[in-house]
Amino acid sequence: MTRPTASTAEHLLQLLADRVTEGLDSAAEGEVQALCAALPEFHEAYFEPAAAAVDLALADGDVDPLPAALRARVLADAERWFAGAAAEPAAGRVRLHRRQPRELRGGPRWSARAGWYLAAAAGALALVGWWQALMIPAEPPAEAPRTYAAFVAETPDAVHASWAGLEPGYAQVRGEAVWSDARQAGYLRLVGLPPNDAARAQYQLWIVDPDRDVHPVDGGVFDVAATGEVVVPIHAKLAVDHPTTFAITLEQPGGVVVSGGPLLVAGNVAGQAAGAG
Amino acid sequence: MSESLLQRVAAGDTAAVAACVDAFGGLVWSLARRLIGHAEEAEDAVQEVFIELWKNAARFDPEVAAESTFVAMIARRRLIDRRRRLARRPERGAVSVDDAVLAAPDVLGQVDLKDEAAHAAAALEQLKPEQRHVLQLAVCQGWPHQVIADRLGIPLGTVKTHVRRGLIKVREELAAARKEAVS
Repeated sequence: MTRPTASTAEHLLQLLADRVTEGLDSAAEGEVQALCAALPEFHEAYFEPAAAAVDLALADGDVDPLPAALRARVLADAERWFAGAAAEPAAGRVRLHRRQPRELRGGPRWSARAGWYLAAAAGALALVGWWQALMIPAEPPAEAPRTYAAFVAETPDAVHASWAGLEPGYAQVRGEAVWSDARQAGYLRLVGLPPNDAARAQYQLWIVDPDRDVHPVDGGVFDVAATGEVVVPIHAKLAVDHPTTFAITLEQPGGVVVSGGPLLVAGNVAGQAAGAG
Repeated sequence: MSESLLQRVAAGDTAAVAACVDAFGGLVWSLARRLIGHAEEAEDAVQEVFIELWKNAARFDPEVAAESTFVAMIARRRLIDRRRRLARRPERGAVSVDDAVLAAPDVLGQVDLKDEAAHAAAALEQLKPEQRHVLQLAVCQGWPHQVIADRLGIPLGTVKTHVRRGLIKVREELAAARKEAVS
């Protein structure tokens, strides 16, 4: 593969600067991930300490006190979170009391719907997204091809999981998730996933890696603009070593920390689904 | 050396939780107001940020960054992601350029800046006024780059260059300070 040039590094630096100021869309995030893989001296959080320091330096003194009612809610959240964590680590995570789109409320618990898909999660009752390590960047992943086709062709050790729809309206979904532990990268290929209104809800990927933790890893959010085939790079927020199941939910824009919504589509990695069916 | 609030939180000291909320609640709330703008969304975002903080408390390393920097990093990441998804322009960011210029702080004149913030201030002081102003609007006010270009009447590419080079400068300053601290 061609060695990255100085202009590639400059382009990556601009993307990283955009990331900590404007934020990036999923395509640009994928580009950052790929370029960081090619240029291991960089990482996704490259400018985050600098941006935080600039914020603190320039906004110093412009600090409003936390409203009392909000402080009370934050403390109540904390109490539930810590109480849950102490009582039952597998399920001990607070569910934030926040406004959600009406259509996302009250759906069937996906633990009931998913059946064997969650067997690998060792009884996890809720999905918890574990955001990327903040201060200690993960080991630079191996360089990853930048397209789905190239990834599949050049990554013989990648694991594959075929999708199956679990909810009404999703039975037609086909495709697969492919993932490489060595590269710490992968793709989703989805056919038939209904388009979403990104202003109201976004699809969110979860990766079950029971060797790592009983809590699935947040795989990032993505949008589907039209019917047909969609290819999305996987943005695992933590290292994933032995994924057994990939699953997709529909969440509020930006994704959630804890998912209570139904599991819409899931796929077990071939050979990993004990008791499938 | 006494443990930091986040280290106490990570160690299970529940008394430190309220202290942490009191110590950093204003910072997180102010960041949310500036970067999100919409009050209800900002409140939800603050709740999310603190849950993130509890989850990541064990990752805090006082030898790597100050607590306030760590908190601001977690908050900014979550807030920027939320703002982008909401596709809303920060209400408080929609001040006039004149207001923003007037509000541009004299970074050397500030007191009580510690650790990374102080080093960032030193780095910012080395930037040209326009560069520093652009960085302030982009980082602190959360203005989109195109809006900054339109309002200041400078090319979008120049805005992006100012932001990129400004962050590189600050990052270099922080790295040098850290290197000096450990040597």
